[in-house]
Amino acid sequence: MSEELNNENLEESIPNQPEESPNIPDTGDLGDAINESVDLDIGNTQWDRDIEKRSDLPDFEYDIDPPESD
Amino acid sequence: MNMDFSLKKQIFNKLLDSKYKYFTLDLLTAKYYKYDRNLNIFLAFTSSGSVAGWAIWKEIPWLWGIIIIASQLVIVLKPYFPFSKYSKEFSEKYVLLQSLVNELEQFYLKIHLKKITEEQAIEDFFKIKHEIESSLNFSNENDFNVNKRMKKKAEHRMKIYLKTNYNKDLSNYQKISNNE
Repeated sequence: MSEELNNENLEESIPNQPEESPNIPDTGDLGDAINESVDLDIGNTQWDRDIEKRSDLPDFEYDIDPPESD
Repeated sequence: MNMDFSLKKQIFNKLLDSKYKYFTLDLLTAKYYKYDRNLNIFLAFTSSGSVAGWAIWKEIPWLWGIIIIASQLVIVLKPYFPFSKYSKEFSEKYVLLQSLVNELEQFYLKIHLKKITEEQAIEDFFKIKHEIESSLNFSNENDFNVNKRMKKKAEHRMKIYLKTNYNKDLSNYQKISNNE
């Protein structure tokens, strides 16, 4: 008996789950702005820019054939 | 003992590229050494008691005021422009690269004179190449740039090097990036 009561209480304590997810309020431009700001360009972060900026000696930009051996 | 031409060319171009980097490194060392020296001369000048006592400052006290403000700014900002540290790193790498480029030059000469087998050449070349590339890893704090003027100077040195060592005239060649 007490077990049945406990089960009933347990069922009552669980709130009804909505069948569909609640509608997200339309935030208009603000929502778009947030979405845009979240869409990070991972390929060009500050870290990448620092790496790109990181110093390298320039390459010698000429393609020269070696002298022919005798 | 015929060496594959593409391998010989690859080694020759690596030699030229390393030599060019070596010249650039030399120019960078000189540039940052000069910056550091000039900064220290300026600070020594402004902190000298005898200079502060010059009669000329009584005539133009505002100029001395500006100089003192500038020197204090330099003292505050100096840690953010560690020219002596840059210069030291460039100088160390320059010495290291110098010996590696000499090694590569000697190695190329052996190839040119066919004094080395192809298998041996491949093995030795990648060893030297790896050493050169490792020697050119700069510390993260060393944030330098090579401007167009410096590139031109390094190219001019390459022009002389190519003419005197390999009888090649650099002005007869076009830059790879120009062809793209």
